[in-house]
Amino acid sequence: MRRPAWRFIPWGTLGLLLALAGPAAAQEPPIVIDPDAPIADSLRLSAPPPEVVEQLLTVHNDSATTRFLGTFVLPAGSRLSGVVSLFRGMLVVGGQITGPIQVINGDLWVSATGRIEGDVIVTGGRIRVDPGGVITGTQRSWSDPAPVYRNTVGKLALRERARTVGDLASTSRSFYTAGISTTLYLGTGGSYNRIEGLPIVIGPSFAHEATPTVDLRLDLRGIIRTTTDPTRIRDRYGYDARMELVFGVPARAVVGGRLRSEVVPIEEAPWSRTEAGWLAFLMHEDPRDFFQARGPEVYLEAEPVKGVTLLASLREDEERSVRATDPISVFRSGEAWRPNPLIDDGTYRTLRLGLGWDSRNDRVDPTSGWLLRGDWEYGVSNDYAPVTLPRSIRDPLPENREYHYSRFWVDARRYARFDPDTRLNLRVVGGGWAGGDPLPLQRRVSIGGGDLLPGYGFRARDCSSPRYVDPAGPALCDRALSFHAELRRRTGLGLLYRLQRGELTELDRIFGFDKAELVFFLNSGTAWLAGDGPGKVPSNRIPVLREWATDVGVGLDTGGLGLYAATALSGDEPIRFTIRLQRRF
Amino acid sequence: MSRPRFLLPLGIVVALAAHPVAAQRVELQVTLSNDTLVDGRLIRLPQVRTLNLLAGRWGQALRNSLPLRLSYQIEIWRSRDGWIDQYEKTVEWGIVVRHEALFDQYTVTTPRARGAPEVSLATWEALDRYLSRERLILARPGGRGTYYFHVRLEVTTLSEDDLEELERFVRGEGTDPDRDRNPANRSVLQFLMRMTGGLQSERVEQRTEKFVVR
Repeated sequence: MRRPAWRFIPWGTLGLLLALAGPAAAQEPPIVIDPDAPIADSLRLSAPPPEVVEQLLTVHNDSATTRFLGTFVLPAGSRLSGVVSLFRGMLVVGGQITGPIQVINGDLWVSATGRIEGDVIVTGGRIRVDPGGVITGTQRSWSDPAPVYRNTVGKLALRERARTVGDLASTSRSFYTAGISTTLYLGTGGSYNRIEGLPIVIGPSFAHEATPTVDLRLDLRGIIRTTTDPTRIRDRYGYDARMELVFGVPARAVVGGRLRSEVVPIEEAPWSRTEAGWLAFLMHEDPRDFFQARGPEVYLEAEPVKGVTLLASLREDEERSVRATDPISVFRSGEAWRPNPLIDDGTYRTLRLGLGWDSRNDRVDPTSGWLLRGDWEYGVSNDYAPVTLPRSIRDPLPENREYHYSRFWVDARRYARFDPDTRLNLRVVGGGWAGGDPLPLQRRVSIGGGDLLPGYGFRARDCSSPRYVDPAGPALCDRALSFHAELRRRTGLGLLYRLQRGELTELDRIFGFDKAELVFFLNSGTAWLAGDGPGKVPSNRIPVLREWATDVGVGLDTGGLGLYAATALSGDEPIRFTIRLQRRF
Repeated sequence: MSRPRFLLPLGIVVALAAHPVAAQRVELQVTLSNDTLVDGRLIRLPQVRTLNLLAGRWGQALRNSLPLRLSYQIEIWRSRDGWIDQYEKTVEWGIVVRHEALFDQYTVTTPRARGAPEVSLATWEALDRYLSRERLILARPGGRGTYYFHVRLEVTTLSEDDLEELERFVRGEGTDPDRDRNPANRSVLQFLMRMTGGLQSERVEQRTEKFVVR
């Protein structure tokens, strides 16, 4: 029952009056929180900026600095001159210090008899000055600690950021000298696949702050492939060398050049890179196809306003077919891998332009906003050796003139909520041939399986022809388009997950989850050959709806890890179960 | 394809999910204030009370000199019976609790609090009592109609390993973009974190009853 009484009061005294008049007044008055109120600098919950951290390290590691580890008390009447740096503890000043002081991840306390003649910096703590105490210089403090640690030789070093799973299988060491930050890296290069096995990446990267707003970066990486290609078509070693100028203020922009020799996937779909890697390693199924790309690239990336990204890239790649090797897998290791399809080998100059807009409220688990991405690619070649395909799939490519094509790709996503527990997510993704000559094999598309059409088999729509039998099952379509809708309802249900006296049992902690989401989804998509002729769709049209493949399904998402079941609404397809390591989109 | 086969996976999913979740250790109580005239409108404000914060591992973390960070979000929703509710906006505020060993006192910093945004407390009991006090949040719906508040609290410890992530949060840049590129990595990482060190944060949510803004 709502209380009939109401009050007319200005915001400034609202909390106090409510407290006095409300039922809580009998107890302690409520604390009034004004989310729109400005925050005093002294109360800002902030971390020290990178330039301050760098200064802290430089000063602390300087041999002329008087360094303390842990709490130190300078008694009244004592004097200390020079630069003073204390790490982890409290610096209690009862005497006099002449010179600048920095307290790293600790507190500074100037007692009534204390005097500091110099500037003061404190991170991860506070400055307290008792009545009578004096600090003559500037005072700067940050409540959050500086990300530094003390290494084995007693110097401070920058702590690496929290590691991702990809990082778990890697190691790196960073050091800073003469204005250049150097990192030595050793790790895995992406996901497991049937071409390279698990590629090992090793090499240094260098970063130098050329100006306060411009960084220069050089990244040199070598790639060691853990499987051997008996045909020696694929290089045993790869590399990826980049040099970038990074402009940071006010809008972020990157201008770079790159030289690479990599094994790259033809399509990222139908699974993400990590999921495809686990599928290959565990189940002996590699859902992606690959080719080797070798050549230079220059590129520009910019974020002129928050959320809007622009990309322009120009590259010249020697693109070459590679064959599947025989890396190990946990299950079905004795079976043969699916062959890797041939591509149209050649040297291609490619211009790529991209535009993106991201207004999502969270990049990992968005509940509202838009994500729009569009790419357009124009490719040219005078030196290529196309695979012969039936005319029903692709007309012969030109022999006496320059070969050129253009391709586009669009991915649009909308995230919305009906209420705090119910979300509706929509996605339209597709693209393909846009103009010019027919697409090379390594730019063609398909649909089926994975996240796009989980109710159908792998590459259910690949535009293959009975006249062209390829055991590799390549993607042969000119275009693909799919629509996805999912309704997510947070259930409040969990599995094994209990908090008992503050502790989780081992089993609960590992396998438990809380408030899983029930997901109902519908997908519809198709892939087709564009052009004139039987079995093709005119270039300015999309297939009629009855030719689309549609599936529906249900799943349980436990916060990234999800179990889904999907059934096709057409054809004689079995119910298919999938395990995802991430949200569907 | 027969329907019963299709119902099988649904049954499995429901069976797996049908396990009641025990009450969260940190308790969030959310109520509504009395009607108050603000800018010519009668509104009710959310009142938030956080209980049992120091009873378990968070209290232990604080005793070990790890600062606690409490991040609150209040979503303002307009209820439209029989139709989709309309999300209006989110307001946020935070609390940081620290143990200052040298002074043997606890400091509670609430940057958005009116009056005393930073409070020092001498005893554990006083700290517990202060943290349990009711907070009145000046979260105002934008129009007239039926509304409700959805309140979310996330408790974390502020370790140096988390700092880079927090730096981005403080700067308003969201999470680590490198991680965002591969959410599958994140899922596996969460799994490994559970295996190695348990959950790094605790999240509780509550919703108020509906009320009418006139």
